[in-house]
Amino acid sequence: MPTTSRSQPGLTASRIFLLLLAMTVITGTATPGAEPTGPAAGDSSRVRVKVDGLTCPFCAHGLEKNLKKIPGVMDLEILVDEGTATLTYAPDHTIDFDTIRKAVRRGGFTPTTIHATLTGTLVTAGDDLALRLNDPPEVIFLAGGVELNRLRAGATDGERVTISGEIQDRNTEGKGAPSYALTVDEFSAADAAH
Amino acid sequence: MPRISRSRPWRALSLFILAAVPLSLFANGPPPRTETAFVTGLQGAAFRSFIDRMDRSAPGRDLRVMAVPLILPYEVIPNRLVVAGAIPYLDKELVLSQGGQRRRLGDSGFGDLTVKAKYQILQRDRPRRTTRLSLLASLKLPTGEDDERSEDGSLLPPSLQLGTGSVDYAGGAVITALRQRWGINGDLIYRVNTSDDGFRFGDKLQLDAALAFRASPRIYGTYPSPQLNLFLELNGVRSGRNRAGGTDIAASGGTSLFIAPGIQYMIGRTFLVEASLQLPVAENLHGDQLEADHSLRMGIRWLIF
Repeated sequence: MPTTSRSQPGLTASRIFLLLLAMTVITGTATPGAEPTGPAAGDSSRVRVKVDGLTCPFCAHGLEKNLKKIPGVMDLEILVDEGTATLTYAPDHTIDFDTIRKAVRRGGFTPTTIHATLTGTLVTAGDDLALRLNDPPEVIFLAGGVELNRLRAGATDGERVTISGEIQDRNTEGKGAPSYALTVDEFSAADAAH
Repeated sequence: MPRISRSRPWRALSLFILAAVPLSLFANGPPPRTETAFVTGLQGAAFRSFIDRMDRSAPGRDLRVMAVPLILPYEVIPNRLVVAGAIPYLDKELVLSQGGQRRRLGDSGFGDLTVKAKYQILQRDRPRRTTRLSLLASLKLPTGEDDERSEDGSLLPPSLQLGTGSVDYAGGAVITALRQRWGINGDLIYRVNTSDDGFRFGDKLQLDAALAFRASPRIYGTYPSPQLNLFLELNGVRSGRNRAGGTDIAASGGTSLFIAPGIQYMIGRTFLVEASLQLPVAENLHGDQLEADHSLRMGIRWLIF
């Protein structure tokens, strides 16, 4: 309404803003993001993706939102200054590294290297070495890495190991072959470190 | 009742309203008054509002505008396109003093709705740094009242109306470069105003630059963490003359440059508070117009999507 006499100028606008402020403080601080659930029993896998451009916490929410949408991710840690996002997968989920890269891009950033820690069963076939992730069945080749030769030297077919290394794209010709390889930077037996 | 003539006080007010309110609507991301090229995170999912108190004055005339814009963005194409709707709640008051007499004119209510789109066209990411460029476009619709009258039946001047009555367009570009704890944002926006009922606000060129610094934490570990940001902004506006009945209004338009230190505190992932004080550095206004005193802005952003 137009006025010609105003004893408390600005009161209405102030009240509206204060009301909004109160509402958002109450609801905003009470909004729980998807909180980490902690590791479940079994062989959970961890994937750390290096994220370029991650300089602004105010935009990291987009990254968090998209990574948490990935099926099987039960825990997520984003280190802003380090520029990494670490995903912990439930034991019964396949890890799709393309999906991780797409999620990072959708979140507004550029994925670079992916480092994974996977537990599975060693599979040997001639000079080739692979890791079978048991549930669901999935095979990832092992190629390169400072510990590959040491692992190969002592490898026993069917042995359960945990391997940490970098995910590398693998050109495959045939269908059904894994499209990634894992370098062997560290490994340990199921219960004892080498 | 005869329509109030758009004499000098009204013409002067025109520039201010035209300059200040759209600035508020455009500013939908960190830093407080300058655009950012980001189209994700808070830029694509956070409700924003603030209270902005703007004062201008000249001998015998004092204008105060309280604006509370409500801004809601939505990320249409991930990391590419964001659209936003913004509508301000306005409370305007002009005090005229003459010969010991004071007369107050004003109005309050919702102003014009603005629909805005931001499209990211360039993204260069490196470890702990990024550079982004986005294009902006906006459309302002005449949803606010533009024919309010004072108690004596006189039509309020255009600058005291809640809306302009016109459909206006704006387009521009914004660049953001972040390097670890430092950031630079800059925008260049041109606004084309159309006429309504024989009156047209002058077109406006807006140029903003903001230097941002993350004061705390020095090393940002796990997201989300509380965060304190400091800003120093320069806001420039060059406005063309208003037109009434096909004639330029002499005492309208001009160039203004402001400096605006600001502070922002992010409580967590979903909520931040911010404040910015804008002060005039230089004003070169045509004719006798109200000059800027200051603008104080305090606001919140709340992540809802």
